[in-house]
Amino acid sequence: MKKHSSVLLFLLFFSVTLVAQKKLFTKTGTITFNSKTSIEKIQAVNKKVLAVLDVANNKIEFAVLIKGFEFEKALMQEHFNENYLESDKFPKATFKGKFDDTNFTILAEENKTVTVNISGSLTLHGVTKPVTAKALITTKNKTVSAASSFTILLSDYSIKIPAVNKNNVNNQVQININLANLQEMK
Amino acid sequence: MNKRIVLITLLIILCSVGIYIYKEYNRKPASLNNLPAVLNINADTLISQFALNEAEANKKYLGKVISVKGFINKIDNQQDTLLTILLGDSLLSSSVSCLMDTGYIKLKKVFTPGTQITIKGICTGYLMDVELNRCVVE
Repeated sequence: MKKHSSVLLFLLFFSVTLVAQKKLFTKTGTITFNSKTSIEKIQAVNKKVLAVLDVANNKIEFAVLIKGFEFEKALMQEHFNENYLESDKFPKATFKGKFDDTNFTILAEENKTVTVNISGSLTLHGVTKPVTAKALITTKNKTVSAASSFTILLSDYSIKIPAVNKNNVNNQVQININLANLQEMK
Repeated sequence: MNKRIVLITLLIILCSVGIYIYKEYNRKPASLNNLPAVLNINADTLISQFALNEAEANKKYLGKVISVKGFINKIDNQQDTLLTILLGDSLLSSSVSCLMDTGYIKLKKVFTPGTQITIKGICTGYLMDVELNRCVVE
């Protein structure tokens, strides 16, 4: 009996540490952003977001290439790269943050969804600012996925809207992040 | 009579400017099938250039249409919404990650790991891999 319980204890401990040491990542996360005014709706998508979710240390990191954002209209994409984000000078945007809640036992369970709070710093257009957001983490069919959405102000990141486009581009931009099918990092 | 000619000329100019603006505003990003590559490079050479000096490589390749030759080391097809072909030595930690033009998902073309291929795409930079977008097979 004693032997059995120690085996059980070992197994329990082992499975917990397995979960706790996990580093999950994806190279194909998606970020979309929306800017809406009464005149124009601007939307773009980037399907090659690199994200690492470090469960052991409660950390999360993102990196995305600005030139990887695709617009429906070529002119918008050109203006976005040349005039607004200056992607030749600042080719990447990054986010480094941590989970404020530390309960990741959910990763070991099936068909669960939890909301977690994330705080960190977003570097965009060469400017770094603090950002907080809520994220949903879901486990389903043995895969982990995460999603979040928050808004930023272009003026916070020294992204100037030319006077002639004041009515077409909203200073407030909504950003949606979707990380499906996170893989375990080996 | 003179006034009439001036009026008609003005109208023609106005119309063509209008058409130009409308077309320019609604222009779609060009398909890479119709754009020539500005340079040809081997996948492993491209990876090592980015790994050694990213800033320098960015200056050379960022935003450019390039044609990359290499061996397929992995194909990542996510639920038929996203097709990525990874090129380069599978022993290296980085690859050239080619996000294929959405047309290729519908084509259901079979790509085999280990075969050599030349892919044309727009270089968007370097994360874990060298990233190419809107790729087409040459």
